[in-house]
Amino acid sequence: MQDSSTIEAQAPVTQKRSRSLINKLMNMSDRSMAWLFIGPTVVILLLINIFPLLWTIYLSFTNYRANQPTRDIEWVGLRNYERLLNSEDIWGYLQVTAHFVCWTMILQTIIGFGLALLLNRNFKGSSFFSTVILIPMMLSPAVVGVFWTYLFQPQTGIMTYIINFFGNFGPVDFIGNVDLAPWGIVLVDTWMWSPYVMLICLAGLKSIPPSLYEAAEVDRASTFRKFWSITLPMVLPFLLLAVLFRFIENFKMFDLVNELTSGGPGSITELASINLKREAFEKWRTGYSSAFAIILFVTVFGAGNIFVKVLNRVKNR
Amino acid sequence: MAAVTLENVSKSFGKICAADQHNLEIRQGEFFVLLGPTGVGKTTLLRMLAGLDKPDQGRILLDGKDASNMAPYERDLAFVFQQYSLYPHMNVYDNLAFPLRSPIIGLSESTIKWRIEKVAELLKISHKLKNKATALSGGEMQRVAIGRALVREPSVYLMDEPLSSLDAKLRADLRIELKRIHEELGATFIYVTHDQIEAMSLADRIGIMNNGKLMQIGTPQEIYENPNSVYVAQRLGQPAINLLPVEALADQYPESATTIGLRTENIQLDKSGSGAFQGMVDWIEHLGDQNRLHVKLASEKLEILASPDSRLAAGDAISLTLKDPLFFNSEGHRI
Ligand SMILES: Nc1ncnc2c1ncn2[C@@H]1O[C@H](COP(=O)(O)OP(=O)(O)OP(=O)(O)O)[C@@H](O)[C@H]1O
Ligand SMILES: [Mg+2]
Repeated sequence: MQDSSTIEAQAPVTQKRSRSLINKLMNMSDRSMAWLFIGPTVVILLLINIFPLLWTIYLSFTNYRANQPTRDIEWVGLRNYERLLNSEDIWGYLQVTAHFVCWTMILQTIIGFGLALLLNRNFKGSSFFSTVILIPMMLSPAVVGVFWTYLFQPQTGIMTYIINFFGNFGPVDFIGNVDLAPWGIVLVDTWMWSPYVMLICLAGLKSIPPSLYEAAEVDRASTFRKFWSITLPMVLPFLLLAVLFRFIENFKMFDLVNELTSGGPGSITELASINLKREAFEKWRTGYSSAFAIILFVTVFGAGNIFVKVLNRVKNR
Repeated sequence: MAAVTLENVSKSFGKICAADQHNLEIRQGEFFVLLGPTGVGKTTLLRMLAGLDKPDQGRILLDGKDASNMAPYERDLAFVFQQYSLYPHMNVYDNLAFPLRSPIIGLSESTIKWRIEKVAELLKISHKLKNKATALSGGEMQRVAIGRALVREPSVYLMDEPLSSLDAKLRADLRIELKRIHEELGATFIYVTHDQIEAMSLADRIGIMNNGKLMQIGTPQEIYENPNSVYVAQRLGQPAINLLPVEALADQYPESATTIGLRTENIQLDKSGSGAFQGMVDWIEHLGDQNRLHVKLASEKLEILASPDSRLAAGDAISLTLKDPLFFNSEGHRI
């Protein structure tokens, strides 16, 4: 009896307290409300993005080795960077990366944009085709790597079969041959990611009002002129955005190529990021590879920024 | 030879008939105005002439030649679109230059510049030539759209409500300019509007449209004085024609008449009471240059114009005499 009365007496107090919390929330300024919403994200971002970045920068000035955690960490100043920039091998890996990035960008732009133009025609079954074309992009790179290894199989793979259609070339080894391997990885990446460029270009094409083409037709513009003066300038911001994403992604390319060639034969397809993984987790030169990672990061960040500037200029023209 | 001929041209969108058996001949150099309220198929008619829509039926002839299978660029006409359709990624100058840079015309850049500056001055957009087409007010966009048609010299101009977003003064100015340009160029103009003043002042002939049908075609005066139906009579004249049941007014009227139509000029007002019908001034709208009398007549109401010096006041008794009123039958046709 007594218990219940004390509970009854207390109940209004807790109610009051919770109401005051609600009141506090209600009276919160917009600014503190904003912090309340983005706060958790900022904390997570700091923990998993910014802190590791700063930690890597620190490590790049040391001779730390992650497989010997008990060893004293020694500050070596700029020695890692010096060694990196003077190493011929590093320039070789960067060249391999540049070859891969340039050719995939060129081919994916042409093929992706071309497919988008075709699918924008709205012929019968066009939505079916666009779904089918998007499949490669949705697969896991590891899976793609594995089944292209089968397709590239010199004896039994379908690529040998297809190429021998055009003449008697014998078995063709796309990933084992020194001349062909750099093109093999370009081929697979283009197969996988052209649909992505297509998807973004298609969105751009769909955003062009048909009435512009009608006006141009009345103004006696030829098909070529309509493409050159209306389609191209209006899709360009979309296209550049897609190319920017592909540039960043392919500069960092690791998974697909690692699965296909692991950098071989020799180091013919050893992209910077594959070499980086070797240095970091096979040779355990953590400090040195941190410096390499920072150099790659700065390169991609700088190039990306230039790209964004161009993109903005195109948009505001 | 007729510049534009339509023979039994029909077009429908699903159940909606947007063009119902159009038969029309427009002379070379004529200023033809299509007048009608929203959704009656005016734009549809222009789009078929331009070759942007294909008629379901019938033939369109341009300069006597069958144009049914001609693409828009083969037709040599300019189109001012109702929604402007400016090229959003270009500035005003490039928008105006677009039709001139067509290789078919082959003009030099300096000629193009000269023409654009002339047109821009006429339309009062010279100071906006560097603006992006999206950074303009609605009225400015509309003038750029007009300019894009005027820089060219086609044989037919199609204009879809080209003055609808302009203020009253600019609209009046440009109306006069368009009339002058028409006389100067001697080109054929086909002009869509739902503004009766524009139609009356610009047109050599007017075509009144309703539900995809051309109800009546004639000179502004013919249509005003001799409308063939209630619908047409309602389109012209301000204030709108007064429509009353015949029993309310006329003592003698044709057998089948059910409705009588009265405009100001069909009514003689009399203060003394010697007229045939007795009424009372209900209230007066003072519009400055004229007064609008709202007259009560038994159970009916009339709107009549009167000059400001008629010295009538609300509550005054007046009497009316009818002069040549218009009679319509129960289907709305003129008798
Ligand atoms: N592409 C289309 N698809 C379906 N219906 C259409 C299409 N274009 C026009 N219509 C219909 O046809 C009819 C006539 O349209 P139209 O655009 O010719 O009218 P309008 O006289 O120009 O009207 P407004 O004065 O409002 O511009 C309308 O009922 C419209 O809904
Ligand atoms: Mg219209």
